[in-house]
Amino acid sequence: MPPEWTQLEWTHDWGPLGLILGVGLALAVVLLAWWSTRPLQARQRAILVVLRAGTASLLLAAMLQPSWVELRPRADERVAAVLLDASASMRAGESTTRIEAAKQAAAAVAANVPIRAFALEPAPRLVDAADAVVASEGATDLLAGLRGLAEGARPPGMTSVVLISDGRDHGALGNGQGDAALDEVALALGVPIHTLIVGDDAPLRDVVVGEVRSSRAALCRSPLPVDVDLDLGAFAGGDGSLGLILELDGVPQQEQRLMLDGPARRTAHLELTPTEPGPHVLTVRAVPLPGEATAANNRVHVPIHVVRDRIRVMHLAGHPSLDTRFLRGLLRAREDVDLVSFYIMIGRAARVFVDPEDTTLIPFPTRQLFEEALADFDVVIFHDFAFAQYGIDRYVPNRLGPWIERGGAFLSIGGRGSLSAGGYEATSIWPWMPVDLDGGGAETWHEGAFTPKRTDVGESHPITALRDDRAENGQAWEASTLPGHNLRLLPRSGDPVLLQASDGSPLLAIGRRNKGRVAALGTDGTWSWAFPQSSERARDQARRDYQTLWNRLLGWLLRDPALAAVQVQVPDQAVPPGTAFDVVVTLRGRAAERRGGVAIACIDSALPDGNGRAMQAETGSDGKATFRLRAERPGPHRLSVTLGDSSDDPVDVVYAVAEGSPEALDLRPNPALLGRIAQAGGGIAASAAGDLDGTALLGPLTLGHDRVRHELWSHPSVVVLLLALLLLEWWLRRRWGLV
Amino acid sequence: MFRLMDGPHATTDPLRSAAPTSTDRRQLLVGLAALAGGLLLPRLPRAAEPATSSVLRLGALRISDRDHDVRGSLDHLAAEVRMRTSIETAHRSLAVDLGDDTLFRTPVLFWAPAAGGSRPSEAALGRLREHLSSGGLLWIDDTSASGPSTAVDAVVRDVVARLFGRPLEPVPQRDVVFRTFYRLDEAVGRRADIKALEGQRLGRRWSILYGRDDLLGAFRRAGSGGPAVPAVPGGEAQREMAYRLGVNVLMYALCLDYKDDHTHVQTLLRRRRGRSGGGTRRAP
Repeated sequence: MPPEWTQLEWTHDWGPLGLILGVGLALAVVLLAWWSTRPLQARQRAILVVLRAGTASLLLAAMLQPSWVELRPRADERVAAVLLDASASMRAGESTTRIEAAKQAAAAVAANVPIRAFALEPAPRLVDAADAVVASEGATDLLAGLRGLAEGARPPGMTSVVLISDGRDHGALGNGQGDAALDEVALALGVPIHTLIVGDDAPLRDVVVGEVRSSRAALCRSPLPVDVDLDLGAFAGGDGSLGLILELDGVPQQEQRLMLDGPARRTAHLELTPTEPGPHVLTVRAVPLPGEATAANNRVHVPIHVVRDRIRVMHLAGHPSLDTRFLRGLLRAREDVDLVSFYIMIGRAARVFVDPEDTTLIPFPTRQLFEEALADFDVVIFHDFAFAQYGIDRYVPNRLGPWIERGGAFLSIGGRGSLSAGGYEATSIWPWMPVDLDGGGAETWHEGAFTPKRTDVGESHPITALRDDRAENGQAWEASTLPGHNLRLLPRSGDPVLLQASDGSPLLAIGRRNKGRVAALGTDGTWSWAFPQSSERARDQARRDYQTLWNRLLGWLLRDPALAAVQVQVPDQAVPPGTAFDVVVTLRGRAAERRGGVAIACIDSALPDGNGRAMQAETGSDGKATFRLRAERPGPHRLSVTLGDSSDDPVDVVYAVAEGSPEALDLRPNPALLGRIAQAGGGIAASAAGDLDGTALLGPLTLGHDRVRHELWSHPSVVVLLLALLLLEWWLRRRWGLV
Repeated sequence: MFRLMDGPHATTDPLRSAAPTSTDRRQLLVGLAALAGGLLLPRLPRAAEPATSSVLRLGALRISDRDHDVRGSLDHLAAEVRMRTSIETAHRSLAVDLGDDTLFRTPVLFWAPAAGGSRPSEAALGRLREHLSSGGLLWIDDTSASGPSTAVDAVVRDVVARLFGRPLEPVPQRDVVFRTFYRLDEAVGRRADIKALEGQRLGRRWSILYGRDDLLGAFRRAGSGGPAVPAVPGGEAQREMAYRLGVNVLMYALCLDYKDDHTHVQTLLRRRRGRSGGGTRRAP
């Protein structure tokens, strides 16, 4: 390739004084020759002076070190850096995926100009060939990719950048920000940035479940509206319908059919009524239509937290008593309790003496309560209630029992008409009772004050924690008395007994029945704590103990997180797949007294029915244990966390793994963004499907020149010429008789 | 649609089908009740004293030496309540002094003051205040023979005012006290002079009820077992109304505003069904 320009350069470093001395010395040498040739003829004298001047001039020229310089472009190192978007959205496409289209565009560029190919993941990664680029699960961040190129990945001889992408960006540029940063990056690159867009502008055959709008805090048994933005893409206006399913923790709650005939963008209105408090994951799922570009954007998961606004209690008592009166008083005093009570107010024998027309007695709505309204209650209490006499027994196997299994709380309070004394052993309630009955013996009730005794489990159980201080709590139980208890109760395997009566039989036993909780209290005498006979100071404490015991018992039955041995913190947003996140487990209550070295077991299982993955950790000195999890299978997941040595329920929390990368939710190409980038970089924005002008993409030839220097003064011909001049002058001097 | 919850596997209302509905038959029942309460019960071999765990034992409060001892009346009231309702009552009432431990063994107190007695001390009233604040109920009865006594009334109002610093207020005729078991239009006792009640509330409940028509006198029995004094002017029918009031008072002591629940229960259940609508609903 010819040089773009050439020039002569003097490379001496003699300085002005050196030059003057050199010129002066040369003149002196010439004058000396003139003076020494006086005897010769004028012609001979002129020849010798000319020769001497030539020699002096040649020496002087050599001393000035002349060089011949050429400026030549390095045409062999001019390259275009081709960046291929390797994000998840590049997998889209029907006949040809976007990443394949990008590879074809890169090949077209390479046919015209040398390229260096990079995969944007989102940082630029140099690949051997564009064909080696594979679309990953990651999201696009074009600004980060360009910055990475400018800051370290720039190839030698880069004269332009060619960015091939669909423009779906989830970095700063995609969020409508980063313009200033883009200008800085373009300036740092110093070469034109061209953009080639892949992906069809035409609507995709793809249903996109977009934003799901609902409150993140929901109330138990209150309808939760869920609005869902949908984009039906090319399916809009077609025949048929789209199935839209609302799920809670992977379990369908509502299905809606959406006719495709209509606009592409629309909002669907769904609703569910959560019934269980705690963290949950709400999922909106569109059933994939035939030929959809991707199903990855058909599901969206949103974590929500459900709280109880009201606790619905059904209180059924065999007769009005002081125990029902004080329990009713406690429940009525709680503003968060909706209480529906039904007491048996008249005995069979009393019918002779009472005309119902004169009374306010009402029929008991057995069918209405147990067939229609049971699901709306949180707690059912049988209070000294021989329920079988009143036709309720037939509702137990098919109504009450399944209600408990699904998460209901059932409490049986003792008395002379309850448990063994109420003939419970002959009823169908026993599978849901946490105690067994001893069938023998006629005595069913023990009358007389006794001190309830805590079992080993009861000593550390939150229900029996009347006081915060363990020692004070023990003293409180040792000083407490109850006036009587049921007999013939036996522990049931697997159901913890917290309190024992005077004969060692269970007084308070609890149990779990699938998702529900049950408890049996073998006395109707706890009212004596609410109306105590002891000293004034002790009376105040006894009344507080009464409230504490019952509130804690109800709290445990209702799975109140405040009574759990551990608190589990999970992300409150859906976790992007492939990312790692921490789950922090903190000891609380009695368990927090031990702090460090407590074994924590955790099972992570995908909902609704995925296999669990077990993990173990130990708490540190701060009473916390951390599990490092990696978001894998998209959808809701349940974490069941237990203390290693605890017999209590696991604490269940739910978290969500997002459905693919965020950009999978919207696959539409974004040419406007690529236009902005090209404009900032001084390049062109074009379609990757069009004819590509490779020369234009290579950029101007302003970089990559080499300066080629040729030293003239050191050339051997200069020495030969100098010797020739000196020898010729010496030979003429001898001939003309001067030597 | 509904059936009373007083018979096993009943598909109809056994109580309604068995009970008389005419006035004559009702009067027959009243007579039977009086016969049972007045004649039969005292002579029957008494069962063992009911246990005390949650059995209601009535307390006859004595604040001054001149207060009337109403234990006999209370025993008969307890027997009537036992007979007519499902409440388990103790056979024997207790004499309760403000200064002794019996005060907190009897959440339901009856006080029949007499004029001229000594005023209770602040300490004694403090214990009574704590009793009532803890959930107790005090029935105050003017057992004067010939009519409401202004002297007794003054004693009552003085004590009540000292208890909570507030005067008595009328108990509305539509109050739940008149509906806890029997449906009553008025409050009469052995006398029927005032036919109304006064009371004092603590929060949402009555902690004190005050009747001036000698309610407890209607329950007093002679040695023969019959009524000790005639009910005037209504005779035995009025006495029956007095018993019904007594039943209602004890029912109120144990059930509070339970009957108010029932006036709303249908609405409550309907509202729940309404709130639960929409979507696939799962039980808790």
